[in-house]
Amino acid sequence: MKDKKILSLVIRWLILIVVLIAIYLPIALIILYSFSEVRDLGGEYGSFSFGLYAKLFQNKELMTATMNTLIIGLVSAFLATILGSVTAIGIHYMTKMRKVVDTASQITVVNAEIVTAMGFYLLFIFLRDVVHLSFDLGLGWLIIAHTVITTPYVILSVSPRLKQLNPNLLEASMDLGATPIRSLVTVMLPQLFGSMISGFALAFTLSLDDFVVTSINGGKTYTISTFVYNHIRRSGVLPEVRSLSTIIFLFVLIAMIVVNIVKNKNLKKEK
Amino acid sequence: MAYVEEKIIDLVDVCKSYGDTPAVKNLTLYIRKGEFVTLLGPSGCGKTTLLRMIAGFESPTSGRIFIEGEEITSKPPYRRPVNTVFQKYALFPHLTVFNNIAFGLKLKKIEAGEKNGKTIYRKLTKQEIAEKVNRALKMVDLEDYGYRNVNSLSGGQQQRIAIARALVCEPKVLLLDEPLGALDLKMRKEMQIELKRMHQELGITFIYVTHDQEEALTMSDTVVVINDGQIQQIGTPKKIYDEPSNAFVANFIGESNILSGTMIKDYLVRFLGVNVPCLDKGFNKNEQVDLVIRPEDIAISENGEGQFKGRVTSSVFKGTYYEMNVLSGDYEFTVQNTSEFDVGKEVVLKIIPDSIHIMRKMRTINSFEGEIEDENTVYFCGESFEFANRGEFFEKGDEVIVKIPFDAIEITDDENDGDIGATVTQSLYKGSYYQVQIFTDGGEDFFVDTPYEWGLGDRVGVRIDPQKITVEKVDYSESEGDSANEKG
Amino acid sequence: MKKAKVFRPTAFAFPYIAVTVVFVIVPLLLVTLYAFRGNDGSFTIENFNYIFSQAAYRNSLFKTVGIALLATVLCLLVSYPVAYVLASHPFNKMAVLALLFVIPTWMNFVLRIVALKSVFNWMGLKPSFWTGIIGLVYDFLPYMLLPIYTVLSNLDKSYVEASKDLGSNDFLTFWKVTFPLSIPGIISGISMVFMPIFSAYAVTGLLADAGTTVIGRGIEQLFSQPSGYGAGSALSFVLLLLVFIVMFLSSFITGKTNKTLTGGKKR
Repeated sequence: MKDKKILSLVIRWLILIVVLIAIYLPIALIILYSFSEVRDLGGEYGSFSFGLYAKLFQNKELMTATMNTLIIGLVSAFLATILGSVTAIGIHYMTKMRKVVDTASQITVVNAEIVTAMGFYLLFIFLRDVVHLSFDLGLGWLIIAHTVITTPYVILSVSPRLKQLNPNLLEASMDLGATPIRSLVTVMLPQLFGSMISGFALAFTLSLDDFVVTSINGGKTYTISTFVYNHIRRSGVLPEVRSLSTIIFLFVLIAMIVVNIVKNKNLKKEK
Repeated sequence: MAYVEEKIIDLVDVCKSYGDTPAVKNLTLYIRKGEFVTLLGPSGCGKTTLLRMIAGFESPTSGRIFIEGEEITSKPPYRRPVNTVFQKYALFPHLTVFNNIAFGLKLKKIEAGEKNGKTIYRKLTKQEIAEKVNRALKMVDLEDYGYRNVNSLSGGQQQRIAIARALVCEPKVLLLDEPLGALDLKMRKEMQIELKRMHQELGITFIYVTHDQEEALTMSDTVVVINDGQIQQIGTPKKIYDEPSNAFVANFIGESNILSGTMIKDYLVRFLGVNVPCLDKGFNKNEQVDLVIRPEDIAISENGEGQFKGRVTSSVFKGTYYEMNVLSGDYEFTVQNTSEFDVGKEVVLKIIPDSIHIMRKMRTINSFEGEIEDENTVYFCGESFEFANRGEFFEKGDEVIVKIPFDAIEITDDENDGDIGATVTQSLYKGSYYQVQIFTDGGEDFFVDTPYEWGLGDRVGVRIDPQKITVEKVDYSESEGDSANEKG
Repeated sequence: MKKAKVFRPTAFAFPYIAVTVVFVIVPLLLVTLYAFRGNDGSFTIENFNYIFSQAAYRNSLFKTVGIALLATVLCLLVSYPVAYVLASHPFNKMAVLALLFVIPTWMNFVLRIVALKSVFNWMGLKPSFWTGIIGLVYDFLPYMLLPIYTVLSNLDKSYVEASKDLGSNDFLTFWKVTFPLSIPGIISGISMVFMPIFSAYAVTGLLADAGTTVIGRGIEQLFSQPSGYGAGSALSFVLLLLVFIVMFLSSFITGKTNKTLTGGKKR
């Protein structure tokens, strides 16, 4: 009986470890080889060096793409967080309209991304050629597109928190003399702060991760995804991508650790 | 305390419906300055909707609301001189107790003299706010709690803070939406006394919503009983208890025996086959009435004098008295007495005139017993009527209940013009129409809603819309309860 | 007195409704419009005829369905055991463990695919059909894992205990109790993997051979010049229909399992 239990435990550990290795092996190798200047993985490792990191910061195109990624990610996540939270509050008080708005907000979530991307592109064509607005594909258009795509995820992360709130908070605030906008800012948003932060993080990583919409609506503006993809398709491996991957991975790891520490602290406080 | 006879709130013909569901129907009500008014009714009766319309969270579908003569029907809540205490407190969890109470004060602007003929306003200073908050905290006995986190307080303490937060804004009217509903019994009793004290000290108007009749009776100056979106009765707690205006109020307030009877003449009512003297007059001869008798007002004895003989069917000790059911004929009386009578014992019940309260019959639909003639014809009131059969199976001779809404009946000047003839016996103006009671030649009472005024004693013809007649088979298992005790 | 309507908090959703109409509904209408519009502006189904008569697009569409099915099934086969283990004792007490499977998704997926590509190069694997499939599984695994794990870890233990109490062994308990109860998670996982693969041409483009690509690539190429807008929109419209079908199927199956689960109690 006891043997059987131990065996089952060992098998289960094995399953987890094998899959984890498969997931992390490429990442680990990339990190390892980010400190070597060799062109391809598996080649002569050579000496430990920060050469690829120096190269990364000297690669103007890659640096621009990184900056674009950050600008688009931060600005669109910020806009999506504001829009999504305010919308979630509106939806929360809806009765009949709720289902319609909820469904509408899910369209971009369930739709094939390529269709969404093409929709944006056709809208651009329409605005330029039919409405005669003079603007071009690029950073601004990408910020709008990313905001639209990520807002539903903010709504999804804020809504559950709203359900936990006292149903009369907004009314109480207005009852005491605060206008709707003031009530929103001084009473509702502070309650939602935590879920807005996770909504922001989600929106940011989704924006960071996006390829299809960005590639089709970016014009000459490249983000990390589109630049790296195009460069590798055209001219093959770009060694300094390894150092960029390492930096991003470490950043994500540290962020996760910090979030978990804060979460645990809050949990303890509640207890 | 003395009332200043001055209206503070005036609701005129207020209606509210959600989609097709009416919540409040043509409600007209005024509230005097300084009163403690309770809106009492079962859940879903429209009392909270009414309160929320006064607060400004809902706007009426039609009708107008005034505060001190000024119309506020479409004013947003933040511009109304009323404040609300919510059932679940709704304290702001991110603010301290102090800042919760100061919330409204920080937004408030007060007059600060005049400049070029215009009144200028200013905000309260920090010190003024602090003073007011501390005074409010003192009033609710939580002086040292200013810097506490609201989540660390007990339910009762949170409720006190919610009350302080509303009162500190010096509203003209304080609205309380079942404020004690979430507290345990002991706490509730304490807070009842506390609220009553605050009301007396502050002298402002309280409008209190509750479904707890005991709470309403002990705290209020005036009770407004609401059911089905309509006011059933307005009066002092004593009046409401002693003289309920209809069967619903009698049933909802306290325990009661409700029976149907007939007014033989002034001061004499017949029920359960016995003529009993009473103190009521002014009804029509042989008018059908409801009567209410409180269980504590029935004298019970083993072989003393009394009008009704019966047998004890159950007995429960309620702390200071026994509550017994006594079956007399096919009606089961509820009787309260300090001494117990064993189950099965034959007893005599005595009802004195003072303990009988007669009410006009509350009818919402005309309902008659009838008999099926064929699948589209039913016989009642001494005449055959066509009706629209909704696919039900009836056989000739089936006993049925025929129901006819008030507005399905048309009355005409010519008594020969209708299906049956009748005489107008009563006419009541109901705002937008008349509700007329007619007595048919077949010997039945009809209620009719009509746009025209009719004189008493007018001879009329009656026509009934066949589409609106509902015919139901008599279900004997239910009809037995017809005259039985309607305890809620 | 100024007539002001009583404020409704639902108004807070209005800006977003406007945004959705302009940036979500209108674009979809434009896709539909272009799909059914001929060069002269009249209504036509010519664009659909074109994409279904051209072997390149027709085959690509069917191939994409095949690739998506295969990758989805592989994702399920790998992630179900993992989710099951993670939700079982004593692993359910180690919250960090589940997190480890998700962390990579927070990093840019192109960079992860590039990392995988470097490893394939090292191992001497030439771009092929299967490297593409492995890439897709690698990329989408967490999206399949997470919903299944969530359902399994929230499963009431008493079901399993009741089953064992009634005499079934571990395998029967899994097959008759745990697995059926986890179907909503599987459905949700499938819907998070199957359709997105249609657009994942970056993965196949980096890892697979030239012949292995998904339909998203075809659409992208059609849109690269104005003459292709019609056919590209038609292809997009077909995908849109497919999305509806998948949505309908998944809500149908989820609804059915939920009904079976609550069937006995329904009044």
